[in-house]
Amino acid sequence: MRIRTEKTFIIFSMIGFILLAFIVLPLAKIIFSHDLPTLVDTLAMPGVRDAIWLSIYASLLTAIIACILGTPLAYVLARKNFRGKSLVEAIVDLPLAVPHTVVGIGLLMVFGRQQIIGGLFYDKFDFRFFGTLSGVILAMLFVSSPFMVNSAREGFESVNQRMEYAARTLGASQFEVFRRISLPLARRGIVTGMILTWARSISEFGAVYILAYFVSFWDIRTMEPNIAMTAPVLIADQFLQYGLERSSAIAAILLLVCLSLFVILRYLSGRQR
Amino acid sequence: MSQITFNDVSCTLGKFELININAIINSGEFFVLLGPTGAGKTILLEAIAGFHTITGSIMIGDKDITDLVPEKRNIGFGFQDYTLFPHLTVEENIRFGLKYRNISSAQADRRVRELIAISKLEGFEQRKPDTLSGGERQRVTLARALVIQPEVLLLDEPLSALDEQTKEVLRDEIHRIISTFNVTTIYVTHDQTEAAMLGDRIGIMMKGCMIQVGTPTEIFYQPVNEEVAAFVGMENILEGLVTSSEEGITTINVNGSNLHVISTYDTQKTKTVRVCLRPEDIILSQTAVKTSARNLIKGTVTRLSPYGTLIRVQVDCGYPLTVIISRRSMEDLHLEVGSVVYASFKASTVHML
Repeated sequence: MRIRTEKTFIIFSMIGFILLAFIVLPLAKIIFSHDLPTLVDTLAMPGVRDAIWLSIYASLLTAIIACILGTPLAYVLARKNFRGKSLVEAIVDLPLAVPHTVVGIGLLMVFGRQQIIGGLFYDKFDFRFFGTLSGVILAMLFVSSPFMVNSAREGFESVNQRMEYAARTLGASQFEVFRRISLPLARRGIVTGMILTWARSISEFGAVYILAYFVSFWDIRTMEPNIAMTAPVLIADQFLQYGLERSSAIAAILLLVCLSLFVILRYLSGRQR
Repeated sequence: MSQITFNDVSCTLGKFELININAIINSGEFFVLLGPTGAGKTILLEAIAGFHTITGSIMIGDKDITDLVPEKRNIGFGFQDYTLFPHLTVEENIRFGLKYRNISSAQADRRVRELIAISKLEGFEQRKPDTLSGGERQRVTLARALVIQPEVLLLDEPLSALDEQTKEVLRDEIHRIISTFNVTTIYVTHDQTEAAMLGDRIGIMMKGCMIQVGTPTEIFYQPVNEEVAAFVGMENILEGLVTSSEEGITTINVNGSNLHVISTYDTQKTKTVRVCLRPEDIILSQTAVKTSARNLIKGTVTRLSPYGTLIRVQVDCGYPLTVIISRRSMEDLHLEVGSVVYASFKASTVHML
């Protein structure tokens, strides 16, 4: 028997291994440098629990809002060619290229209390974005929206357009075709988009840091107002105040939470079909 | 069941186009659109269904549908690639269009059951499309299109993705199912056999134009030009000079040999003509047998090549002739390259272009 050597693939795999190790090592180091009692103690600190809860809660709301706002645009981009389409596509991807502190500054200059939109909300409804859950969601939505739109678009593009044609000939209006054919069939892309949006949102630091360092929000666990930092902001805060030891324990918890959610969601979205 | 009328239908769609299509498809007719790939057949179907903006007009019955949205046209459409909804069961697929019809659910149930029975899909009701074979999927597609009782049925190469055996069975099935409904049908194909077997009439499309419309006999024996002749398998297209035309027989000199055609020709006109002749209308023999065929010519076999289960024989008779014979005939005639044979064909089988 002759053993075929695939040299190219062996070398490429070895190079790839460097990258994988680069990703896994720091994360593993964070998790394994703390023993369980330390983690439990850290988690017992109210500020930590609130921060992790706020991060999960805000990023989940962001994913839902991104889905509602992003799916229609994704469908248009998947189905229609029009003048200026590449400009629209560029705008969709723009958040990927803008530094996140710049995003925070920009949002503040529109949604701040004395700014164009923020002022309107403040005057009419006494509603503030700065330092609130809404501010966190704005920041998260801005940086994560490309993932939602692009994923959902891929989902819609994978649906054979003739299938939509067939549904039209059978009597379904454009919206009915969307509701009964395109949307269910693009579900995977949309769900993937929501997972990516959620993952990107929960990890957001820069824009949130500018817009809502301390976040006042209505805590649906206690049904009372609460104030907390999001987990990434808390980690930075603790790092600057107390150093690596303390911040890395919180980091370990946030990482474990994110990893477990990530694994569960990937499993769930992979199973449906 | 309605007549379809095309008035000056034109449409440009990227590199495909339709140019001034004028035709009438009779009520209840099985009309085959035949043409090479890229001829615009599918665009014409999609224009009828309302997916493209056209100039000119399309009528179904006496109703102008040119500006109607697709969902208001009441057209059944069977697409080439399977467009069954993969997330719905066979039964849900068939029922899909009935949701948009004003009928009770009891009526809908009855129609779905009827279509499932006619299409021989009993037992498949709860299956998802991706568990079906190609032939089964096409039957579901057809049932889904017919259940809405369309005025017109459009089928785009429904058999092209199937293997030969399934193709043959399904071709007859499609014909049987459609005849139960007696619906005006336009069937697109690039396959002459399908066209000949299914079509009441055939329309030849090439480069966006409707070149010829006629019965299968007219299309296959009296093509209007050389392009159509070549496309429908008139492998012998010969050029010659008219030497005489009397008593309904025109004699043409092709490379020094005389060829007789049943036709009257005005000898005052240009004398160079082209004639065509189907390869299966020529008979080969070892000796100059006297038959009723007016054309008998001696030649040499230059090439033998398999043509499916048959044999294609190239004979040089002063001009090249292509003949299709059975394998058995080839053996009986002891044909090989260099053999001398006599080719005979009736004057009535030759068509002057």
